[in-house]
Amino acid sequence: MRKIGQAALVSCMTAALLAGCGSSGGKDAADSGSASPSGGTGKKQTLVVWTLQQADTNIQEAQENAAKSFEDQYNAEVQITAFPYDQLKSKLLPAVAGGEGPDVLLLDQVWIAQYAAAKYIVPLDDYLAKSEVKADDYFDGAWGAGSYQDKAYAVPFDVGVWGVLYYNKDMFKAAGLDPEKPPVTWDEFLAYGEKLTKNGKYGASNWAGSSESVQCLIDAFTVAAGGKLLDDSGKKILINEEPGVRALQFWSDMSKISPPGSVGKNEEDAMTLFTSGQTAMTMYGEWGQDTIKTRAPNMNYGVGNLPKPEGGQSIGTFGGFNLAINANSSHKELAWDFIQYSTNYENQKKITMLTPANKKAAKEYLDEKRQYPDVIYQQLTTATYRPNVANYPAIADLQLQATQKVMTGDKSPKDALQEAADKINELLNK
Amino acid sequence: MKTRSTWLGYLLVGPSVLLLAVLLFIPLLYSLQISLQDTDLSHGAPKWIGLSGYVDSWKSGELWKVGKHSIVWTVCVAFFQVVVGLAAALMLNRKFPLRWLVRVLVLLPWVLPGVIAALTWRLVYDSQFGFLNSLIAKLGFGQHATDWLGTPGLAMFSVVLAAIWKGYPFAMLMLLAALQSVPQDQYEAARIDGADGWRQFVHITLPSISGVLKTVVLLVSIWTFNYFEMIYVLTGGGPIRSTHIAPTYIYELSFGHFNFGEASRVSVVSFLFIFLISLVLIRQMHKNERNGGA
Repeated sequence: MRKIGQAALVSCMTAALLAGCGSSGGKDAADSGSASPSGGTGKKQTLVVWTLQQADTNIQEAQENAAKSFEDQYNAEVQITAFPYDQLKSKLLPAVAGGEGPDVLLLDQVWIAQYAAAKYIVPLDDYLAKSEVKADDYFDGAWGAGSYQDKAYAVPFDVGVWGVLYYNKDMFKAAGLDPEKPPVTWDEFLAYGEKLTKNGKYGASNWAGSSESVQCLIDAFTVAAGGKLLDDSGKKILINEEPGVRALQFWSDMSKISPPGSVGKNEEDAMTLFTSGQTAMTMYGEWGQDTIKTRAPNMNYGVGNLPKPEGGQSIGTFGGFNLAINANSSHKELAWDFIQYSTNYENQKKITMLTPANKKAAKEYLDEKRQYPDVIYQQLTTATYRPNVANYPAIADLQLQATQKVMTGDKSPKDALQEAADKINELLNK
Repeated sequence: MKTRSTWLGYLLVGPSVLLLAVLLFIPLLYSLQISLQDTDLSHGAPKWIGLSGYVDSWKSGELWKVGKHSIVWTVCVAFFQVVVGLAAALMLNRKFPLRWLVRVLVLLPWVLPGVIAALTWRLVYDSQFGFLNSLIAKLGFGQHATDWLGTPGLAMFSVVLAAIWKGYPFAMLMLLAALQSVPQDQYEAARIDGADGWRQFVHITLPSISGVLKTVVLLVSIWTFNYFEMIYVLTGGGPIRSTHIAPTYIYELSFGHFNFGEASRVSVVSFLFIFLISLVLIRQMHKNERNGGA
């Protein structure tokens, strides 16, 4: 009896092992199937697309529906898989680096340089030259973020901007401020903030926790103050120059009108303070309207452009996603057709999670879905993008550390940025 | 007959050896290999750089900083988890009404899912609405808004406190079981000889539970060294990298910066570190067993 038991156990375990091998073998077969050149005539080509699942809308379904007419037109089968952001980030790179992965990649703007430098994606200039896709149809900053060393690598799919200014009209009225006139300059913003800071409420809330949004804003303020983030060679960071120092100084001056403890907070905490009526103003991406709608549906709020330095321009920083072609794909032409299809005016309105990157589609999308569409559209048109260098994540981390050093009173903006710039330049010239 | 049973033996061991090889040794060797490469994505394919990568990581100072944090973190958390666990076990070993209920309640932190516990601590430490600040105010130490997780000097203390709270019930549970197996007649004999409570504890309780105690110390140290989610959720290694320990740093390097070479170097170093701790502690345990047998 015991022997039989042992034998059964062994067979179970071997079976489990075999099953493991079997399923992974199956996956390989499927992958190589998708990557192999399409066989005889009439056989459908398969295009694998990885996309992002964000927010509550079922974007995969919308994209699959939109892909149907593409499938008919090109006699192809499109397999769309949607991942949450963190999964897309951690799965896509190993897959592509291993010579596999999807034919069409949806990339966060800040990943593009990395993929391009590693030659995981192909330059699109030749494809662009013989197609209808024009850079002018898309937001400037989103197009710029898709390029690396003067070559286009990825076509903008959707965008968001960090950020716009949200303000509580009722709190403005209570403080004797005109609820239809949000602050325009940095000085106004701080002055209004001081009037609004009373009785345990605050004018706004800055933050410097471990998240990138604060860097997006400080980058934006740097450009707004007339600065540049990188020099043209892409080998030298310029954040330690005067505009960058002013930008960080402004963010740090905001502490006067903010609840204490910026380093423990991130943009979501600042938004929570705003929706719970603890602060009168906050900066957030344009999609923050959805957040306010769910959390504080009765709030009487307005949206304005990001405050600008005296004599400067109101500028935000782009976030968003672009589409690129896997260098290992054997259906590059088809992949390009799909990218064209997904980024044209008609389809953009239906299949994006954020604001469409196609300007014409974006205008309609904003008019339909957002309050203050013109403010947002204006902010998108002028927005800048984060440095498109291959080791951006490491650089953003150094920038964040500099910001945190200033916010904790450890260093002055000038010293902190100088220290960060020295380290970043070392990384850029590695 | 002998050969048959030998074959059966190999057959039975085979799957686990295979599993170990596939899941443990091959990945281990692979990360050792990656740790000898420069995988910075800015130049495409990985370059073989040999041991110079280790030298560079050491020189940049970041490795040493993270190492220091890891040691402070592991020693503080493991030490207090065991001490608090032991104290709790001693108390719960006495008879009092509703003891069963208290025993169950004390286990709560340990059975709570790690991420939820960490998120709860975030609320406790919040500078605006946090429980800790309002508790301090209620105790009469004045209103203030200390940013427990956002102040470089305080952040490590805060995460350590949360981790002790999360893990001590395990030590308590194990030590309570050990305490219950200490023969009562030894205490009776000691009392007749006039030993007070402290002497009974030092000469009877501690020697009797020392085997379990060492196992607990070993397990808790290794778990703490590798304890990821508390720090990841509470501070993410910040502010200004003041709470980065090996696992969170490895995570940031690999999945944040996609620098798998550097991440592997840190992993290899921390692997060696854990290996050494385990070696020392396991030897201690064996010595203990031999003494016990003699």
